[in-house]
Amino acid sequence: MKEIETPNDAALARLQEPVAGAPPPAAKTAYGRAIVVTSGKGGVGKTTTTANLGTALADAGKRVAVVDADVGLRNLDVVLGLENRVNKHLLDVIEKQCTMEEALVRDRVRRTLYLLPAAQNREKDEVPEEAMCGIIRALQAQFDFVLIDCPAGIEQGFRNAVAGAQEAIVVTTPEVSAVRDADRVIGLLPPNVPAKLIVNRVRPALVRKNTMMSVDDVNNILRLELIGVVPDEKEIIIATNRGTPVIDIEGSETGAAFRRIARRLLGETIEIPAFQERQGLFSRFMSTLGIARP
Amino acid sequence: MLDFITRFFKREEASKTLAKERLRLVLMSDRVSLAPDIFDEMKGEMLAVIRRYLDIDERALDMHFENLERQFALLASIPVLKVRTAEEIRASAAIGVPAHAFGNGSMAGTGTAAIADTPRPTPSRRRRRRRKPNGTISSNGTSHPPEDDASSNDPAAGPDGAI
Amino acid sequence: MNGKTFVITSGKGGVGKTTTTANVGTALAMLGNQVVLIDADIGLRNLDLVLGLEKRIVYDLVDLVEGRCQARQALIRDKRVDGLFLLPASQTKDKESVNEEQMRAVTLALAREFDVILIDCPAGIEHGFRNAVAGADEAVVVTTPEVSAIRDADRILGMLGGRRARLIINRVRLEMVRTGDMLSVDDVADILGREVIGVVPDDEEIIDTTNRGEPVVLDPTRRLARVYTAIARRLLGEQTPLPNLEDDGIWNRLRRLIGSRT
Repeated sequence: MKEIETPNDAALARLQEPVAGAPPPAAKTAYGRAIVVTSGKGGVGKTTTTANLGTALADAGKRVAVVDADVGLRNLDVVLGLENRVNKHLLDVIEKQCTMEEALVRDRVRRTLYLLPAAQNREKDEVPEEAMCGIIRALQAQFDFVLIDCPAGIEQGFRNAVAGAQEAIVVTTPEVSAVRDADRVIGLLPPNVPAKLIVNRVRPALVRKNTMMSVDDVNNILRLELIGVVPDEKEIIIATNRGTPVIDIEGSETGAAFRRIARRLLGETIEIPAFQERQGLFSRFMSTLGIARP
Repeated sequence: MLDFITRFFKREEASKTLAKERLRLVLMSDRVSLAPDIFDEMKGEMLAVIRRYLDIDERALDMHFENLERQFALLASIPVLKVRTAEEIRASAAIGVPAHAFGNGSMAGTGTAAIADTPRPTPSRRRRRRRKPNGTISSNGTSHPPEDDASSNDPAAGPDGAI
Repeated sequence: MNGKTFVITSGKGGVGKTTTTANVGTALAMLGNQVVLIDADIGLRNLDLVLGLEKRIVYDLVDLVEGRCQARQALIRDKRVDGLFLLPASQTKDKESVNEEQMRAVTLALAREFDVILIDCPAGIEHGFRNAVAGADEAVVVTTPEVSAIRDADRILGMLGGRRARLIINRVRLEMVRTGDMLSVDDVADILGREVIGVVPDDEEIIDTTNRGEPVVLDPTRRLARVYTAIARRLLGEQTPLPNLEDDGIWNRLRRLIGSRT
């Protein structure tokens, strides 16, 4: 990898300054972790995962940068509710039209969470892989975690997103096309990038009915270390409507699952719970009578 | 803080209403950034009209779209060097300026040019919101006191820089 | 005959392009048309899986374009439906193996023999997308009533080179629309400003049928079959009314009142 001139360190250091009233940040001793969140298949929840994990890690006191690598189809900003604060973006930083500090958007609620937006009007081909590496390294110097939201597919956008990463989280749903694409993507990750698995959009009732693959079925094919299982819920849609992370919605099982994953990323061992899909009164009644749900 | 309070009271608002509003704003911003040449043309046309009434400082001028909290706006800062006299304005009109270029019909002689869609302008000079003394706007919508270092590269002024 | 070529696209991944291509394509064939479905997602093919034809692939789009086979060798005939053919994608090549001119040549050649060609577009706006669009006369943009999907759909509508584009709104959840937790069909149509040719309710039957490789439209008793058949008709210009989603029986209405589904 070529040595790339990193953005102004003084500017980045200013990000370390404590917010009034907040506890002083821990001294930075080590390089942060750069993790790409990828899948192959679109729509399985990469962006939601990146946003929620980033938020949960920030809640745990970590300094987190989330990077939107989906040039041209950015959505990490919208999922975090920061879309109207985006002015500069990743390509501007690479082309030195602005500093990293000017491009980073600070979250409204979590003051140690920052977003580096994607450009909306450029093609992915325009980002050279080495430049991405340089950006990620620069962020690693100032953040505990750098989460990279990968675009769907396996084209240049995917290659760029993976370029700076040292770890990967592969997101899939328990559905044939998604698992097949995840398998492909796992094969395309560089060998020195360890990958872990999140199985998203699980619907326990459908698994029980044998309509949907179980998590074990999925991981028997993909054979990765499982770092989380996330249930499907309408709360995710509501959260995106509002532009708040689903971990902020009280009672959300999905949110709880993301919080657990964040803690596992931080080294805690937490068992993956068996999910019960919430049942309405009527269908609980019907189940009691031994009548299967229609 | 204000944002938090607003959101607290709005908790009962149907989330889809919020979604629709957010989409409306973000699509405006996306559409502008996706056709920069068309909007450069628009700026060019606007400036052509302005030049008929005012002599402006082309190098210090800035016109760009900006994402504000609940609004998407076209902001302009156009330093005026000279306000033309009524004769000069009428003279250039006589050369054959197309009628539609006069916008909503504000006439020469008042020294102001009215342009639809910008926030309410002060005569002959439109102020940019939250402008830093050294002439740049900070991103994230926060104001910074003037900085004494050169950390911010001078954002390109003019039609090609700002979106 | 000169067939028409439609690209089924979306921008956002996972909104249902492949499922739509498979089901609308099957419905078109069941209505008596000669139909080819082209999987343009080279490297991440899935149309074969959804149609249940994955075990019969010998040649693919890249083989055809590089002259290693004839069209009739690459096309897989669906044994369940007369007139339905699949041109699969290559799983091992990448999207740069095919360029826009080649795609155009393929679809022009196929249009001489078939009534309708549907191109299943990959997610995104990169090479794969550009190739898929290059071969098409018109577009169908699939979206869901969610913020990211609509945003991406809007973007895609601006990248279709002036081709006519109509919408399919997928995964609509009526209960959520009613409680104001999901944008309505009208909301989406307003925002994107295009004609809607289909509204597909969210239905777990899709998961089951995808797992089996049996497009839901093959079973006329399933409610989604009606929906896709109507879309097929509208695609070809018939002014069929969009099926009333509410009209699905007292059982479902009762369940919805009690809120038993997520």
